[in-house]
Amino acid sequence: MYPTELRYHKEHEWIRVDGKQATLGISHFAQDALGDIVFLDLPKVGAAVTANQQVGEVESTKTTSSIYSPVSGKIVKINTDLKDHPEVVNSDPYGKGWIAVIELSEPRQVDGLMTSAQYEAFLASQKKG
Amino acid sequence: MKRTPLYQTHVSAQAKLVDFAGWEMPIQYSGVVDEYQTVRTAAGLFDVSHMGRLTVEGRDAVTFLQLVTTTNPDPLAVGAAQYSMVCNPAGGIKDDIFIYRLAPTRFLVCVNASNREKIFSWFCAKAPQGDVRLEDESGYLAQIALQGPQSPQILRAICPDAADQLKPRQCLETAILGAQGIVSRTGYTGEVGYELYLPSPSATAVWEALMKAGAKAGIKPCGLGSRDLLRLEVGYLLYGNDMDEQTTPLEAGAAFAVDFTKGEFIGRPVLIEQKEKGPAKKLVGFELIEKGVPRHGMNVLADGKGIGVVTSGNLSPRLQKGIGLASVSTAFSQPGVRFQIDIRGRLQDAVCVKLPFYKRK
Repeated sequence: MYPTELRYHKEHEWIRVDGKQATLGISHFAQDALGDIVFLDLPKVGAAVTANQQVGEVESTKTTSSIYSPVSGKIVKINTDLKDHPEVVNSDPYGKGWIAVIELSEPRQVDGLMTSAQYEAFLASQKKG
Repeated sequence: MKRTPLYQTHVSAQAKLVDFAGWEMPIQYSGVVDEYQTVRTAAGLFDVSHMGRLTVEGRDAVTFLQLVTTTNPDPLAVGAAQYSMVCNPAGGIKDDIFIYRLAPTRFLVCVNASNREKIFSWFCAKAPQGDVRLEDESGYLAQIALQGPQSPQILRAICPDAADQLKPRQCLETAILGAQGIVSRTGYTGEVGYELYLPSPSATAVWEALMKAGAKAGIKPCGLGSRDLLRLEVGYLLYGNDMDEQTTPLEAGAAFAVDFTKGEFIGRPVLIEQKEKGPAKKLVGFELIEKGVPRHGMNVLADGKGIGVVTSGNLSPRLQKGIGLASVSTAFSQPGVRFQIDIRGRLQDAVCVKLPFYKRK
């Protein structure tokens, strides 16, 4: 449920790093907690993003939640398919449900993000608390 | 947190449970949209045992209900039910309720979970000297809602008499799997459906029997999430969201639930004055022009000025549009009028529409 090749953020986003770019999405835990996702407010291509700042919003039938960027950089691509098919974020959060691609301005920030094992431990600790 | 007699059933079915008005209730089983679709096309089963069930009995029961509610239960036939409201002396809504006439001098009043104690105390305080006996039966009774186009044939498997006889807003005292209960053709989804009131110990057996009887028709257990979506599309009000003690029935768009011809009742002087002058604010339906999701509490603006507030909102699976109810200045309450919803600082255009958003064919 938490692929090992990804890095995770405490607000339940993931990134997949490929050279100087990182693909952003929300984790299985996030999509499951939100329930049926019905709409996403995506960032604009070209927008500058700062680590830990909001880049968009995800709306489910139950609630609204912010999407945070785990890293700083610039949005170079967004997943326009989500406009008509937001539900793929539920069914395939690490694949077709990707949200945006960010060109990293500070690649070293990636090292500060959680591995899948760390993220799972983090989720377990949240559950206990 | 309080638990209904069906709590274990929800846990076994791996429902997601949340705190709702102090009750640990299922918000979803298979998923809100899936459950929504199931109720619109087949049938869904809801545990609504958290709601309050009061009985009003005695020779003066009718007079009493005429005083404490906005409707007149006198013309109701035995076996008929009506939607009504309980108001405070200022005309504000203390609760919206359903009144069932079980016998000439015996009524069942179904109240919202969050208002149960409040309404029971209010009724006790307002009970006249005459012959009126009030009981809070909520703890002894469970309440199950079977809703959706397939529900008549599913109900027939365990209550053939109710399935064959009941027309909308009628109820019948009958045996439900051997236990004495009440079946009513009422609901909160806009679909054909029933609510079953039954002794708590029978709840699990009845739930399972209905699930079994509906298996072929595709019945699914449903939670409060889909219930909220279903009721919003039909424009049904949710107490605490769309109205409260600061809202009158006229402001809530529920003038149909106020009978000014029956004589004195609590709140009447204020309501009649408001009726003559016209309320300053009104609850309306609206749709967003572009995709987005309005939510309770968001501000409604026109020409940059605040004109109201969103009381309920979601994305309609049927319309694939953001829909909602809003309490707005009466000047903006006509269908076709444009205003804007402040979605966290982003102003989105909306149009006032006639309710309901969805009507069963």
